Amino acid sequence: MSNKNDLDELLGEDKKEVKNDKKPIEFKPGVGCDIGTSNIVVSRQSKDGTFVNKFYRNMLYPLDVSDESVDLLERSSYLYVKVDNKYYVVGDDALKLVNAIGKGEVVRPMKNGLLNPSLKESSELLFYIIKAVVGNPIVKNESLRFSLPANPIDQSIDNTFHKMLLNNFFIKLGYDAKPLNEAMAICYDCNPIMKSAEGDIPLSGISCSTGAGMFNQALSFKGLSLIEFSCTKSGDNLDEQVSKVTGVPIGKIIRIKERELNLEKIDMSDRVQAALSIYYDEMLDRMVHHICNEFKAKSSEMDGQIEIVIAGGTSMAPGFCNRLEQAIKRVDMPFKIYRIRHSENPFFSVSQGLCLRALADQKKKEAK
Amino acid sequence: MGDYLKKSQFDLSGKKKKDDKTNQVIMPLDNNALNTVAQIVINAIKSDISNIKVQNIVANDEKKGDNFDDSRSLSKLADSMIMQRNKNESNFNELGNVNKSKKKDADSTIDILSKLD
Repeated sequence: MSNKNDLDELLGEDKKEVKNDKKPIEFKPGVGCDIGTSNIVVSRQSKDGTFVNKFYRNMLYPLDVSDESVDLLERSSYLYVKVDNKYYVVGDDALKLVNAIGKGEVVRPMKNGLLNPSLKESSELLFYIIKAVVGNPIVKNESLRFSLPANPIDQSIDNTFHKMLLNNFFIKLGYDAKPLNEAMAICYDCNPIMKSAEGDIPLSGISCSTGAGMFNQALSFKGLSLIEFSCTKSGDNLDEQVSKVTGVPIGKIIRIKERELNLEKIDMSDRVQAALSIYYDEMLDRMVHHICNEFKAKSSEMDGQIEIVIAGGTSMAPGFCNRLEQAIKRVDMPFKIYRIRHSENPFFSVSQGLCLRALADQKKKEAK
Repeated sequence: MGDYLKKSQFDLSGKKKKDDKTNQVIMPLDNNALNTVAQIVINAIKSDISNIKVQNIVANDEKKGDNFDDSRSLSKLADSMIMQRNKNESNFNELGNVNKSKKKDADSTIDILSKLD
């Protein structure tokens, strides 16, 4: 199996491979599982308090079964699953292959944060990948929290079946599974602080998860969720729009976005960079517009100044938070905001927050 | 009948009534506007004759408020999708690369969360 991939490079200095560790890590029971449109991330906390995050790209490249494809897979180290009469090259290998072949597109078992209805084998493929990343429970009925997007306000999508499907799947694997809103997971990981007359109040503020399929937002007070909602047209939509206007395949757009894009140093003579910059601004303006409208419509009030915490793969482009700050300055927010804070681990924030909640569930269970 | 209906200048096609001389403007109405007008009319009828039972006019099942609990069939459907039907094969058992990170306030967060319902 290849240990190096594009994501590794993106993760930079924080990334430490532990594949060659001889001594197995001892974990506390309680696991967080972020089932994202783009990536699957699983977090556990070791007994010394370190978070160990396992990640894998939730992406496939389909190949029809033929002599050529069998030959290609035999000669390469690409990882694949065969379902019916198709091979599906999985993870980063899918992206490498589509960029090498130069035709076709990668497919995803998920779309807009939920199972992809246009892919017939989506649940089967998704379960195959999840099982290989999450592994088996380390104690009987180990607590597990999995991410769930809120129902989007801009599309008629219901997450009930998706939630039930994942819940039943994890229970079948032997876990005591519960869903958790992904923006609330970021709240638990980043701990936004509200400044009020009573002093600093933890786990209170706005948390934003910027995924590939959706933006999720939550307003919380002392760890309790007050409002949760999501909107579509996030990272994947950005890739699609840029691909449409430039004619460059989506696979290449993803590579440029993840490896070269710096939102503070845009080369406007480069049509892909220019389009990415424009669509990033549009995406952020849309997100801020929805935050304003939803919180105003629900007459949400917070008696103090609040913090916005933000995480997720789409927020990882350098300069993202500055652009968000500018977008917020362009509107009349219903709250006094004293700071916008980017997660220390934006890519792992959701799964770490889920893990914290699962550890708390386990602690509660053991105390009974 | 409410005041609104007495003052209304338009029939549902958006055309001005011929015998009315108080308003000379003809406004074409789109579907949304027509629905809004229809809703105002319904509300006016309901408020004026509140002692008479008025049946709600609904456009689709959602508005009828189908409150049947379909969670049992959804759960069965979910179980049927988890079952492996096709013979799969793969060249891996375990997937994933690893990142490690430390968090300062993890224990205090777990304490707060373990007290939540």
